This record gives sequence, structure tokens and C-alpha cells, in this order.
Amino acid sequence: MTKQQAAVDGTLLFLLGTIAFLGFDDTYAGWTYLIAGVAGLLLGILIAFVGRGQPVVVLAVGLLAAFFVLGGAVALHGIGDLSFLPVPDTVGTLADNSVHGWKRLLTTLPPVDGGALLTIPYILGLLAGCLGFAMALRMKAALPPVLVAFALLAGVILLGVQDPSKTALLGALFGALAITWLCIRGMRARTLASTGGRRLSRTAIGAALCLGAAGLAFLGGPLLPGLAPERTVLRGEIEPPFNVGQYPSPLAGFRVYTKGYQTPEDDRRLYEKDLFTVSGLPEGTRVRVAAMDSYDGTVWRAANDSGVTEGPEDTFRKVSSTLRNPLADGKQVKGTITIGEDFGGVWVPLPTALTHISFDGPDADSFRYNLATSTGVLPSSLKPGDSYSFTASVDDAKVGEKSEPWSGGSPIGDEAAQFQALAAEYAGGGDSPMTNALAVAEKLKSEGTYTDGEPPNQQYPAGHSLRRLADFTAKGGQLAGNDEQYAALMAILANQVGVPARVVLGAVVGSDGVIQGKDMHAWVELRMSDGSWATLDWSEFMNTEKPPQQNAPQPEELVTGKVVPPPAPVRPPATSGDPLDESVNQKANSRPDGFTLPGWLVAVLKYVGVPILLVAAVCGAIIGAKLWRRHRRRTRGTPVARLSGGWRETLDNARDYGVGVPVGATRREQASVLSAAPGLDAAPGLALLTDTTMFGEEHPADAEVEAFWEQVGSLRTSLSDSRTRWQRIRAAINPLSLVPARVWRKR
Amino acid sequence: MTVTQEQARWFHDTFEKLADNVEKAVLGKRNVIRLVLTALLSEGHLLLEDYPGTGKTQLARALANTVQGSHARIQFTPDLLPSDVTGVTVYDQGKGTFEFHPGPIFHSIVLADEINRASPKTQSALLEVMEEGRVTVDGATREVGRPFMVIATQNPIEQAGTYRLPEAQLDRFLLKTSVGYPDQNATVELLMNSSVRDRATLVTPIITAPTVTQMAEMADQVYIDPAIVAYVSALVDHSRRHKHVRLGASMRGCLALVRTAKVWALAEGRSQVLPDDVKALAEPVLCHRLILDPEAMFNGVTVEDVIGDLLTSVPAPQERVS
Repeated sequence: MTKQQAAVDGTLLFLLGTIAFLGFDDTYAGWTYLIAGVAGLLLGILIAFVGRGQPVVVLAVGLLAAFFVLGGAVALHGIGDLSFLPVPDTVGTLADNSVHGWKRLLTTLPPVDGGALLTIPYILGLLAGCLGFAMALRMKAALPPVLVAFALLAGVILLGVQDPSKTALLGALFGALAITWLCIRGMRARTLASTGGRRLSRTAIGAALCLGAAGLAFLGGPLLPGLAPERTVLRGEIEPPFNVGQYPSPLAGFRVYTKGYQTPEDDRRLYEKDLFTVSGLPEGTRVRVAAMDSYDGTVWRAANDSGVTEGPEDTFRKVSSTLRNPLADGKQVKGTITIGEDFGGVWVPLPTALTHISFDGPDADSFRYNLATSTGVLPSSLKPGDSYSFTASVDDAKVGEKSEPWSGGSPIGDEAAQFQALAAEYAGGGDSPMTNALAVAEKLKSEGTYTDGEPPNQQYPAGHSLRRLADFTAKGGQLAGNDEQYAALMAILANQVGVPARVVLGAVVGSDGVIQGKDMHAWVELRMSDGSWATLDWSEFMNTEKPPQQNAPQPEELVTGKVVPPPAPVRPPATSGDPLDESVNQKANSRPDGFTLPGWLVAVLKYVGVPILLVAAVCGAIIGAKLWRRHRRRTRGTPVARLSGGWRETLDNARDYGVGVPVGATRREQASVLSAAPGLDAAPGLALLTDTTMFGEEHPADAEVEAFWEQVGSLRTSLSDSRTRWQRIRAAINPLSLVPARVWRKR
Repeated sequence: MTVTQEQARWFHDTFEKLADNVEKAVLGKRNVIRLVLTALLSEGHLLLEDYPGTGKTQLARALANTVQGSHARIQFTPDLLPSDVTGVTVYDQGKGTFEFHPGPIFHSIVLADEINRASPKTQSALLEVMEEGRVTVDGATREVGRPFMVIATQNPIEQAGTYRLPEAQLDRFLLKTSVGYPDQNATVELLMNSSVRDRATLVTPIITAPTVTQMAEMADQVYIDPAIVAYVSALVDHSRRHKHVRLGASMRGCLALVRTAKVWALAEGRSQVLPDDVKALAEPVLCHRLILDPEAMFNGVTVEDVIGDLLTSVPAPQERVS
């Protein structure tokens, strides 16, 4: 293959790879994925080119070296101070992502931030570039290297999203280029009977046919019958491993926020303690801690999938900093929430319809978000002092009597069927489900009383299990409870009258943005006919001003005789943890007052300087390794070993200049090969000296060995002097001689 | 006692003088001459196999002429009897006793021309003398003296009326080589001096038989490192396990390789054997000792191919045994 042909193959493979990587445009945020993929592609092609004619194992070693040495600079440069260097952490991260990154990519809600997941396009690029170009160089058949490009495209599609954009354009471009490459290689593979004009006309006709086919595919492809209605991607086949049901319901622990919470431990009474501080959000914005859309007879809890089949996906998925949120059609606001000393746990306070989030402090990698409930969890737990900024679309729709409810089913099952009669009684026979739901709310508000179970109302315990709610609503008794019982019952009764409902725990942002325990409330959200959820505020179904009567009559009967287990133990929000280190905070917030580099220069240094530094470091390491090897060969071991080392040093020097010798040959045979190269005329003499000293009856003396090494040095100088400066530099940084000789068929 | 560097240099000079002398008769065949001299100084026997007219006999006679000692030529024919080679006991009527008339084998250098034309019985008459340097006739054993060398020639083309040498006989030859046709320059020079009918007559003796014996004894003292001995052993061992070989090299072949390597080293002025010496001599020492598998022969594999494969697959030692 000529250099021109190799250049054509390399260019076409590069273009095909680049087009294939553009398929990640909807999978990754930004364009860093393209840099990683293209860098991998170029490196792969370079490795295949440098390793042409060498065994496959050499290519494999080159790929591994490129992956681990340059992987940090290409894929991890933005996630740590030294991540661009091949330090142990970087190598570990690369290794980890090469194994687990695929799963992380598929289980993260797209678009995915770059970060460590850029390792995936980098690996794909390296493999496709090296494999494709090596096949192009080594095989005459036209198809194999083109198949590698197709495999890369298939990989990108499988790892991508189900509804990408620009598929037709990219597909047509890719197809046209692939066919062109196939034709070019096919023409090379067979000997044409004629040349000149006939060959030119064939080429022109072929190119025109390719363009025509590509255009036809672009225009008519989507209309062809038999096409799968949905794109097959691995993302759709993978079950997210996260289970939100493992966390206790925050509604069950609501009483810790109340004024009347009875506990001997003062620090667990959060009524007047700062839980978190909200800045940037307008006053009156609702901040949601948790949305509970499943009732199991014991507690309302957040479910992995509430069974709602339409609308946004009701699962907690890993997300990147940017989300494509289908509910984000309201007013966009930016805000920041800082966690106080008395708040913690896994539930992340957020407004509705999040579109962007960035954490300052906690481990953002574990953050998961549920698009259907607009709530987030952080399995690694929030800690005092943690802060995060976000952009969200806040749209607090209120329920009206004329609103039409969702008719697609209730999020809860038959667990609360016993409240059917009660719901009908409270509703009073309205003409629509929504009217009935509002009537229930009005009934609860008008007849209900409020207590946190403080003395003398200890008979009204916490919890919202069926038994507690049955007691709550027993005939002859009085409705007495707080947000927990009222919201739980309201949501159950709303579901019974035909309006899908769920319970939300959260707070409304006040003027100062500080959320204390007393600001925490539970409200109900009702699902509207368009699939959205409208807020039914706690003030609509709960009268906080009316205390229970002490001489109220005892309830006549329990609604149910079913033995209901006690509520699940609820861990109160964590209050432990180190206080915020002010000094660290101040240090982090401080800005240097001195000279700062322009942004463009920083960018250039980051993307150009760092790789150059890395390459320089690699070259330095190679030169250092050779110097160390030479020193070791000259000074370590017996005289015989040093003598043998001197000859091996000569062979390695020659190898660095591209002069190889047969393995297993005698030194004089090797020397006869070497002597044909410029600057190595003295090699046969040195080989004879080595052999006669080595195989003589007497062991070589130290002085003899030292004199021999002087000759080794002279030969090295002679070899170096016979070459150009550029050849000397290439030889100095040529790593091939560092590979053990047994790896090579020829040294 | 080992060979000093001065002795090695003397040996080298003498060897080169002998080669120059023989080369007067056989032009342009320096390496073959060196092999022949190596066989002589190893006190071994040489088999020259080549096409007619390549100078086999000239070479043998030139070698005989260069040594100041007795030499004889035996033209092997089908009717040649063993007694024609070894000698015969004749009754002397005058003295009334049996008297032994020694055959041509009782010379320092014996040229057995076209040895494969004699019957196996006659060929076998050489077995004892080639191995042990003595002849037993009518129950009496007689030494042939030192130096003693048999230079045999044979023609590989003509098969009719010939008897292939048995393996035991072949194994007794230290080296087997061929002369080959002369190159262009040598051919031109030979033609320019076509008036010289017998070029072997140009070779005059320059070394005495005792000196040859002395040089052979000196060669025995050359140092060979155990690493190289192990290399020789590995080569021979591989020859026995090679996929194309039915019968590998014998222990006699192993010894021959070491003995000739010592002479070869001294001939180059060295007092120690190098792996290159072994490689240089592997083919002439081993080629007549290997019997190829018939299927391999049918497929065109030659003994030279097998030996080349052995030399490639068995790595040469790079370090001495400490």
C-alpha cells in the first residue's frame, strides 16, 4: 500500500468515526464527547500506523499505553487537579470506567455530562481507529475496515438515546462515505483491465451512484415499510438498579417538625431550627422534599414506579447537571439551597421541574431525580453545609372546581378501599369527581381539629396507617391530627372519589428564604386531565387553629378490625455532622486579587499545553528508562552479565534507529547485519571481542569489561553521528527497545 | 593445559598457508578447502560428493600432496576386493613363510575414488580402519599410523552399478561436503591455464606428517565453554526430534561437531570455540548423518533445509556458563 492510499484510508476512517460520534450529540451534554472520541480515533489510527508490520500484541500494548497515559488528559482533565496526569487515581478511574462506565452511561438520564463518562467515546475511538486502520493497512479485502466503522456507528446507536436528532442526515452522510471508501478499496483490490478515461468514467459513475443512493436513502428511507417503530437502544433494555423504596417515608416522621413534638432530646425538636436556606427563588415558591405516590396501608411512600403509564418516567434515575425535563414549561428561576445544621438525609429539597443542578460539596455522582414526581434523592446523604444551585421551571397550578381530573387510574391500589364509604359521605354526592374531592377537603377543614399530640392530647399519636386513620375518622370521635394525618387521609379520600392524588412534603419559601421546622407542611397534589399535577394546599383541608376538644365523645366503632402493623420506624433527619468550617468556606470563596490569565489563554493551556506536557513527560520517561537501563547494565551483576549487557545495549541502540537483527542468531551474525547500517561498521569487531571474552577459559576481568563498555560507547557515538538530528531525536524517544526482546520476532 | 594465543596464531598462519597451497589446485573454493583441512587436522575422514568434473579428485590429491607423507589412491570398482584395500598375506616359497603385503590403506592419506562403485563387502573393509586406525587381516591386527585420513568421493547422479554407503559407514566420515562448480573468475583462470593438465601437481608438500599430528593434538586442547557444548547437544537432540527426520544425528556426530569446531576456532586464530564455529560446521558434519522421513523427501525437503531449521530454532548461547 502506498502512502497516498494509507492517507486516503486514514482520512475516510477518521471522517466516518467523527460522523458516528456525532450520534452521541443527544446522549452527552456539550461537545466534549466529540473531542474525546475524535482524540481516541486519531490516536488509534496513529498507533496502527506506527505499529504497521508489527505483531498484533504490539498494537494491543500501544492501545493500553495510550489509554492509560493519555486517557486522563483526554477524558478526565476536568474532574480533578491531577486527573490529566497518569497518576494512580487517574489510572484507577480510567480502569473503573472502562469496566463500569458503560452501565453508568446507560443508567444515567441523558444528556450526560462529560466527566469520567467521556472514557466511553475515548475507548470506542481508540479501538475503532486502531482496528480499522490496522485492517486497512494489512488486509487487501475492501470490506473489513469499513465494517469496523459500521461497528462503531452501531455501538454509538446502542449506547445513545431512543429519539436522537439529525439521524437521517448523519446516516446518509455516513452511508455515502462508507460506500465511497468501499468502492475505493474495491478498486485497489482488483486489477482493472483498462485505465485512463474508462477508469475515470467508472469512478465518476460510481460516485454519482453513491450520491444518488445516499440522497434516496435520506429522503425515502424513513418511508420504507417494515421499519421498527422504535429505535433499539441498550438504554431501554437496562433496568435501573436504584430502589427508592428502601428509604423510610419522610411523612411518617413529620412530627419532628411540629411544635408539640414530645421528646426528651432537645436537639431533635426541629420546630424552630433552620433546616435549609433558599436563595434566588421568589417568595411563595414551593420547595418539595418528597412526593409520596404510593400507599401500602401503613405509610405513604415514594415508589419506584407508581404504575402511571403515561407522562414522564416515574423512576429515580441518575442525572447529569442538565436535564431535559418535559414538565419545564413554566417560569425559569435560578436558586441555591444551603443545608442547615439540623437537616439531612437522602431527600433533596427542590422546586418543581428541575432543568439544571450543580452540587457544591456532596457527591453529585449519586444524585437521582424522578421526572414524574419532581423530587430528588442523594443516597450519599446531605450534610450540614452542603449547597447546590439549580434552575427550575416553577408553575404552581391550583385546583379549581371546574378542573377535570385524570381518568387514567389511581396511583394507589385497594389498600384503602375501606374508606370508600367515608369518601362518599364526605363528598356529599357532587356532580363531578373534582367537586367531590374539594367537598372532602372542605369537610376535613370544617370538622377537623389540629394537634401534634402534645399534652393533654397524647391520645392522638403520630402515623397514618389504616388503623390510625380509622381512629382518626371513627364515628362519634373527632378528627384530630396534623399535616401527616390530614394529607394522608385527603389523598386517600381523593383517590376514592376518582381523583388521583399524592402527598408532598415540603415548604413554601418565605421572605427570608430560611426554612425552619415550623415551615414544613404536607400537602396534596391532584392529577389533572392533561397529566399535570395541581396543588391542593394544606390550608384547603386542614384548620391549624382549631384544637381538639378534651371532653369529646369516644368513637363508637372502628372502621376496621384489621390489625395494622405500627408505622415503620422513622429516622429523624440527621443532625449530626461537623459544623460548617467557616475558615474553609471563606478560603473557598476568596478570590485572588492579583493577575489572572485571560480565559482564552487558560483554555489553550488546558487543551494544548497539558497534552504537550504529557507527551514531554512520556518522552522524558522513555529517555530516563533507557539511561537507567544502560547504567544498570554497565554497573550491576557479574562481569559476564555486564559484558552481555554491553552487547544488548548495542543491539537496543541499533533497534532505536530501526536496525533490527534476527533473534537466536550468534553475535557475529547479528553484527554482520548491523554492519550494513551506517555508523555500525565496528559492530563485527565488538561482537568478536564480546564472544572471545565471553567464551574464553578465563572469566572476564573488571578492567576488560570496562574497556569493552568504552567500545560500546564509541559505537553508540559513531551510530549517532551518522544520523540526522531528527533521526537522533526519534531514536531517543523510540520506546520499542524497552519492550522485552522475546515479544519481537525480530529485534 | 590450554592453547595460548601465540600457539593459536601459529596454527592460524599454518592453516592459511596450507589452504593457500591447496588452492593452487582448486581455484575459488576457499571454504571447501578449509573444511577439508579441518577434517585433516581433526584426524577425521572426508566424503566429497559432487557431480563429475567438479574437482573432487583434484582436491583430494592436492591435499595429499600438501602433506609430506605417503598417500595412495584406490579406484573403487565393482570387482574390487577387500584385500585389494587392506592387503593380503602371501606364501613365500623361498622363505617358506607367509608374508603380509600391505594394501593402499597403509598410507597417511588414502583417496577412495568413487567409493560407491565398490561392493558393500569392500566398502565395509574400511569400517575398522576408519574408526580405529588399524587393520585386521588373517587374524593379525596392524596399525596404519598417524596421521591417517580417508578422502572418499562419490557421484550423486549415477545410480546404476553403484552401492549406496551404509549408515554405519557414512557415520564414520567426519565431514561431508561438495566442491561445486567454480565461479566465473575461477573458470576463466582455469581456462587461461588450460595447458596445465594436472593442477594437483602444482601443490608441493609444505607440512610434514608429524606436524599434522602435532596440530591435531593442539586442537584437542582448545577451550570450549559448557554453554557451547550444551548448544551442540541441543542441536543434535533437536535433530532427533525434528518432524521431518527419521533418524537423527548420532553421538559420533556430536563428538565430530565439537572436534571440528575446535580446529575451526584455532584456524581463525582463537583459543576458544564460539557458537559461530558450531554453526559454520553444523551442515557438513551433520548432513550425512540425518535420514529424512520419506514423506518429507517426497515433498522436496532436503537435509540442508532441516539443518537450517535447526540452526534457526535452537537459539545460540549468548552467555557462558558461570
